[in-house]
Amino acid sequence: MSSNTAAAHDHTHDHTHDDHHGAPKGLLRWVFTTNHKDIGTLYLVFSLLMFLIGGGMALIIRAELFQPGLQLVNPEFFNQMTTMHALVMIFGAVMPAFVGLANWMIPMMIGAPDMALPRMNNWSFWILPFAFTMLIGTLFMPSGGPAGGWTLYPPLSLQTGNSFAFVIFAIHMLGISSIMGAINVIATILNMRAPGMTLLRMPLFVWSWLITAFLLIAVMPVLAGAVTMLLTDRFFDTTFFSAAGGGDPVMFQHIFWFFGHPEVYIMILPAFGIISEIIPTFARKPLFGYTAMVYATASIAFLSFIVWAHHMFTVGMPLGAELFFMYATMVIAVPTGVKVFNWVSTMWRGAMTFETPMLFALAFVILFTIGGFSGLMLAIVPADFQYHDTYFVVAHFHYVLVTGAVFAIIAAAYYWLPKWTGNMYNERLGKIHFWWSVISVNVLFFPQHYLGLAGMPRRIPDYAVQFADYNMISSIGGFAFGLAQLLFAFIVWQCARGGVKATAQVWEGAKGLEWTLPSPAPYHTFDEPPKIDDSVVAHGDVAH
Amino acid sequence: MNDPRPSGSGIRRTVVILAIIAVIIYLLFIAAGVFGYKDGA
Amino acid sequence: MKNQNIVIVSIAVLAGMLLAVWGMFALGDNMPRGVTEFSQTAYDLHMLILWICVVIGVLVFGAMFVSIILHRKSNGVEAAQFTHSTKAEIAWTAIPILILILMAVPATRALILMETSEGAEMDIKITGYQWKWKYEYMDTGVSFISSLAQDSDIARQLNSGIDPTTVDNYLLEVDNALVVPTDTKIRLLLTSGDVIHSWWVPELGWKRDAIPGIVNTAWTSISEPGTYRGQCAELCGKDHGFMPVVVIAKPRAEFEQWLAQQPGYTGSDDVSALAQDTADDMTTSPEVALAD
Repeated sequence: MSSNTAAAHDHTHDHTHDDHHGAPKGLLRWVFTTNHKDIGTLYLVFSLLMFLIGGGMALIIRAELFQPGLQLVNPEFFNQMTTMHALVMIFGAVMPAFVGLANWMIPMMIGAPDMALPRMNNWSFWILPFAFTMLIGTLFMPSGGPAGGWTLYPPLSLQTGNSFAFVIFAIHMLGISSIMGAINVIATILNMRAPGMTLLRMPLFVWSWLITAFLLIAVMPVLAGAVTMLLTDRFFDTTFFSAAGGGDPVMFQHIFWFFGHPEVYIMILPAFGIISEIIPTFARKPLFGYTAMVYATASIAFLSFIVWAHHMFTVGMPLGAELFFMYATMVIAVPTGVKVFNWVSTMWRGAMTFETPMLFALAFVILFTIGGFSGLMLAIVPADFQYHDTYFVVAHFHYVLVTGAVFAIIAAAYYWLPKWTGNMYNERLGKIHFWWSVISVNVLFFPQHYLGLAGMPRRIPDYAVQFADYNMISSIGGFAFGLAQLLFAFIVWQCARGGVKATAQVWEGAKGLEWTLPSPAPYHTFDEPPKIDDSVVAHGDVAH
Repeated sequence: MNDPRPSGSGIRRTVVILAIIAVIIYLLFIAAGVFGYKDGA
Repeated sequence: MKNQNIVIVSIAVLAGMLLAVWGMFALGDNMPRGVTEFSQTAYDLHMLILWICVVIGVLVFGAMFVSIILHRKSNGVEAAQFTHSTKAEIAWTAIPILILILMAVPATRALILMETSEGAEMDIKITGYQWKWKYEYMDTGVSFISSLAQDSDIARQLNSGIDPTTVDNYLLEVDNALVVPTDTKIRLLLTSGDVIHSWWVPELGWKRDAIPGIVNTAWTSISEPGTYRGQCAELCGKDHGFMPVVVIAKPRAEFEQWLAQQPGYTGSDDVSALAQDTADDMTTSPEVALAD
């Protein structure tokens, strides 16, 4: 490396594998790597693996619920599956996928040579496999895995056996990994932008990640605090959350959801960013209302801190608190609406084509909005007294997280795979994957709205016979959707191995610094700062 | 202004501030738990 | 020509979306209207918000589909390059705010109704346990445990070989149901002996958590005699799915007759007198720590 390179890079001088001319060979490359592209790949591959494991757990759940009566698993194991499915999907699949995308794309989008803290970057990734080995390993311990739901509400979660200590240690590790990742993102964006890349010229994906990273730093320590107190309650005779000892079980819920609600937006804001990249590209038209999008994202992030108790309207809060949290939650519909309207306006009078990333982005806009509608319904407290803890809620958050966050991640993968691998993915298979996914996911989750309204509580392993039809339909959708994701894994693998060579531009309408680089992106990029002008700024018309 | 060459001190300052914020929030919420205690039975 | 296209496509899209909405309503179950004033209110609010969402959805998705059909490169269109419109942006910020205010008014009114348990004519204390409910008719000496009916309990064992459809009210039947009078304002005091449970009967219109160390208050007044079934709604351990709630509402006279026949009955036969005693000792605040 030249002597005037990043201070952060100086440390890697004597590592012979950190070579300017290409990636080193061998498996140890992946263990010792400090390269943002390598680490991005590690995150993304890990996330795909976790997505398949968490999906397998979901299929165990759906298989048991295929018909009434218990046929496959006992209730204890069923509860372990619902708990683990959530933890694995949230902390193992969705969050690492976004961090992986951030690692790959942020330096390339702002004209930086790498992340600001490459060695910490390596560490924040490599914590994850160990944390998840431990977390999933609890399933094989004598006392079994956690079975009290991913929300870990005491006193129930305190009934977990000794494996609880491992669960909490794993959550601490995941939190530390996330915080380090977030610090890295903020330090990179604030300090390493190329000259001319002012904050309001940054692509929206970068903006959404900057805001997400602040959310992470604000709330991951809150989760850490909550589970630390659970740990001492369970093993060291404190009674933070036990009324008998002067504590309060509801306080845990307040603290947990003070983390939990921003956490929800941690999983959706980067998705907003991705969709805001993809739609303008395939509409061949600049994003509508760039500045409004930035402000809307920031408003959503702010509001996420004052709505937590809408997850717990049934605990018996004072009327005033219920009204406050209802109104605050309803207000979130305004900035979210602005985003949806802006996406539709971006399409309006564009010249659209419908490659796979665009298809997933369009499905995102519609299905995420349906999830938003049911979210608005859930905000209405008197109706929430009926919806709460039913399959209506399950349907709601799966629309937001699967057809929202996961669809956005899949769209991003198709969108940037040619840039990462240098090869085009198989467009025909991509389209099959899309149609298969979008149909099966609705067969999977839409009937769950009806189940909830008809009175089926969530997290039950067996149900009254009037719920049988919708459950069977939902399970069939679940298996079809799961199968479709194996096809996705195959398409990614096939694309990484070879295929039609991609151009640097890849997509006709793509704008932004990453598309000025060759495909595949070289191991080291932007060692010299790029020149920033309107032609490479992602959203054209920088004045607005 | 925005030098693409990261100034070591700028990054260091960002990291230290953010890390301190994270630790403070962690302790703050534990403190909330501690002060939330009524006199135990 | 171009405008004509937009009109034709818009009408087609609108028709398609209305068909889709009709299909969703035709295919699916809905929230029960229930048998209390509050359940009717919750239902009305649910339908109001649902229809507002449907209208917004039809407009937004409709515009999107029209755009997808007309503004595609294969139609040979040239992409416009506009990036903002202050008027439109103000409109779609302001109009949603107005709609939200319209929603908030009836929601606030309904919530105030729900949270006002004054004037209750009788009190019933409900305690959740893993995995059964205990019902106490305050100041009458009557209390009993209510758990899953035996035939359901046998059938729900792993690989029991019993077809659930052959069991009456599978998983929604108990050994001892909660019997209450109709047309009586009943205050329900909810707490728990171990972990958090949630007491829910959809026909009554609400659920509320039963939390150890805290007494939560809710109320109901059932207008029609009948049997109403629900379940524990908060994950409470391995048999969370197997602690149903069954409420039998009887006319007042029949209820009083039933109550007097219960073992341990000591109280007066005038239910309205019961509430006066308990209303004085019990606080309506949900934050009463039993442990103190």
